[in-house]
Amino acid sequence: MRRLLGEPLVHFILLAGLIFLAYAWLSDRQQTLDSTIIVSRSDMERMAALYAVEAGALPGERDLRAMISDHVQQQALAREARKLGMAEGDTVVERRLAQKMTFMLSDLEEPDLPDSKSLEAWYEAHADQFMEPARWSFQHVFFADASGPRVSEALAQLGGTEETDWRTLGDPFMLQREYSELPSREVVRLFGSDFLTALKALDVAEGSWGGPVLSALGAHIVRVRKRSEAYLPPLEDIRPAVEAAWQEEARRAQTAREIEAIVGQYDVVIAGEAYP
Amino acid sequence: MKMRMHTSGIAIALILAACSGEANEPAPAQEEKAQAGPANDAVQPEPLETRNAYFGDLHIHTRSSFDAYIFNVRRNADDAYRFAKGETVKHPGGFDMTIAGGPLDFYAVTDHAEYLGILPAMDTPGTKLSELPRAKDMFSTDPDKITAAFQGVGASVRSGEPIEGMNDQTIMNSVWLENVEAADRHYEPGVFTTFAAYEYTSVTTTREDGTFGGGNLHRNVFFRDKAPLKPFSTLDSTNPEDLWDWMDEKRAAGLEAIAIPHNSNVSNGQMFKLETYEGEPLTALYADQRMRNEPLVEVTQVKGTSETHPDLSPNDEWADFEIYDRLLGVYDISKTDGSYVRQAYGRGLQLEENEGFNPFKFGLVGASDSHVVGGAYSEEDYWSKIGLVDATPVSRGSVPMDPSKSWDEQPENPVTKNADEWFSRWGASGLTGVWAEANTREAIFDAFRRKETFATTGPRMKVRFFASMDFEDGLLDMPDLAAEAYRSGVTMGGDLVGDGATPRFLVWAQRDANTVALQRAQVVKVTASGEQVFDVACDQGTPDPQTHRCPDNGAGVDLETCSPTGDGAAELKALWTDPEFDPAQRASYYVRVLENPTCRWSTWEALRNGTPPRPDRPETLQERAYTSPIWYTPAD
Repeated sequence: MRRLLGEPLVHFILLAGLIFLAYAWLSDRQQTLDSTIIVSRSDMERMAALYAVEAGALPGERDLRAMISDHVQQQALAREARKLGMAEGDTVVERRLAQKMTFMLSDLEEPDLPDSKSLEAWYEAHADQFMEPARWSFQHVFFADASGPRVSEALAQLGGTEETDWRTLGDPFMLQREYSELPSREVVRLFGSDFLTALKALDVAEGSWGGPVLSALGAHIVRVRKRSEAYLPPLEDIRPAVEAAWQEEARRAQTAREIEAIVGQYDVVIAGEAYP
Repeated sequence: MKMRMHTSGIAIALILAACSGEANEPAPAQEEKAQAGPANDAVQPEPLETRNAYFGDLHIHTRSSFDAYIFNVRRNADDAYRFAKGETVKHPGGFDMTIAGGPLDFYAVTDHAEYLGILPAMDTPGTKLSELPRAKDMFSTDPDKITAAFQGVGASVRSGEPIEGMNDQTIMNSVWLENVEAADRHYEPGVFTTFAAYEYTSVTTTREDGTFGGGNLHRNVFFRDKAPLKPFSTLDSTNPEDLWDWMDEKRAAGLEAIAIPHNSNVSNGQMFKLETYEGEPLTALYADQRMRNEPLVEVTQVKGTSETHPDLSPNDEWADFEIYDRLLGVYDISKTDGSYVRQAYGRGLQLEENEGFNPFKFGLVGASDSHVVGGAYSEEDYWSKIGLVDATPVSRGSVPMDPSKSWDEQPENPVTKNADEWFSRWGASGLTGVWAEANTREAIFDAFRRKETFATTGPRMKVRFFASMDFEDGLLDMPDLAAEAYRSGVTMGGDLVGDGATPRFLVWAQRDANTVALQRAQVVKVTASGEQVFDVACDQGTPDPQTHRCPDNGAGVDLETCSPTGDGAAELKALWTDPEFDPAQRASYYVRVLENPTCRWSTWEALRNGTPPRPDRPETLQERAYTSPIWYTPAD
């Protein structure tokens, strides 16, 4: 018996039983109210069953909550749409109506651009979206095998006074010996993350050779020609892109507000608890 | 209130992503337009003489594909390109998809041309299409009706006979232009390349009832810089040779295009059969037209490997890689003969020797064929490819169906059956690598044309491959090795013409810095009379001169954690001579590079679930790359 009580399925059934009792009590009082959305036990069982078929497992509490939330929203929007005389019908029609209503809401007029100051504040709050990545311009001499004296000999040669063509040193490298303006994530894509870390830590004067720096591919003697840190471009440089992004977000927020306002016109009763 | 997309369609499990078809449409008077592309006035990147390796996926579906929409896919081409550029996008199952290995260099949405965008329109209240009885069935809650409605569309795509009322040319053309515009919008020369592209969905059937179950003859069609106003689909003709005619016409009018066939492995022996679509003997004209229009073949994707099959290559110990042989949408087994690339290379050489033409002189690419806008390239983070239908480990058959924790007592139902027959056999693959001077439409498309391409099963290892009569002993250590190889050799996709001397091959592979190291590089030699696999560069030691095999490098996987064990090579490099070279015999040579073993996706999912890996699938695999061949032709 104790083991049985530990089974999630049993928990689910017990929970469903409790919800049913609560529902029976509530439904007596409120089922008739037009502005009430009731999420019944059978609604929940249907959602859970649907979920189980798709996911191969019963829904967790969070999943169930999300489904209820969708259901409530759908009901509210559908009723609103019906009030507007769009149609009448079964579940499928209700779903379509809710979609249609959402579409209508999102198609409201283009949000006006904010004043310069607000846009600036918004830009700064969304800096992540607009950052220019750190970039690297560097040359490297590659060693497939870093053992033995070859690496230190090459390093000495490059640091010496004699003119050496660095392109003739080390092992041939399959890709490029020289990169310019390579974003950090490209450095990682080509050489691995250890290489980027080592590159950042490389402590030599600009224009001098340093290393060896190890990568997933081997060892490298590196000369960093230019390193630019990640930065946020001045708003003026990319104003049209920022405005477009602002409008997109404003439109989404506006739609969400409209939906919320419509849902807010309804009292929502979920069996067993107050909602939200 | 939290918004969350919820999936409603249930039992579509019986159907499968598939496609095919044909019908007839009056050809629009004139076409030529679309895609101007931002390329012209944008700054063109500096070309690199020794060429760079760029990686991409050339086979992606969105909500506009008739099957994807039924799988609950709601993302569009913009979402697809955003995914490829590194943004996180939601799977129809509600979880996040982020691209493994960082952003790709190029990407192409290839929605099915047949009924392009029609299902979304049928699902939009107020449209004429939504009033069709089929629309009401398709979006009902009755699984039988949904299945029947969807099967009907599949049957029409296959037969080429349009469904009355559904074949709305205006909608299809406008959705096509939307896809073309999305490709243009996301094209950024030097950074990210896109192509106007679509899938031509021809498939034959072995069944009388008009349902699925036939030979897959799908092709993806790509346009270099200008796109036509409408695609040529199976509703125009189900015969791929008619597609080639159409492409020839377009090319004559200045619209350069290529088509890339895929899943020959489930073509029921028809992709590389030795007769035309209509059963006529092959001719030199056929071979010319095929090669002009189809210089490449997709050799790996989610639905398995098309390189070779253990029955065809009994002496290749690595031939048993992600083999998938179920015909589209059914459990029937595809015919092996005529379905695999390596065999086709041999038959092409036979034809060349006997008849003087070769219709199978194609290069190789890889792709995912994802129907959820984003490809799952990593074994560790896998979501298969058909939306809600294979969205969970249970539906893919990598973990037992609840509440069982064991594989011994699995229930028999449509979900476990489909997992057994289909989804547990699918794989986390693949990508295309190209060697091009720059990341632009022109440079990458021209690399397709040259067949300077290689396919990988997901990782981004790079492979160079050259051949020459003039390579010298010290070649491997030359500081400008790549430049020298281009100067004095031919590269993958090219022809080496004999002069009596013995050629040398440069094989050069570099690991993906973000996956695991390499184990071995091999040359696969194919002639009219046979095939042979030579190991040419090993992580440790050198190949045995008798067996042509590397010593075991001892690399493996700890199945408790899926961590790789042992060492591997960051780079493999060899100057190789074919020990059995016959200067008088035609041959094709391609390179296959193997990574060290890693956990298969099904093992990763089992590990996370705390259940044993599915016993009838391999626990580990070796990711790999395949280059396009170099063809050797004797001197006259």
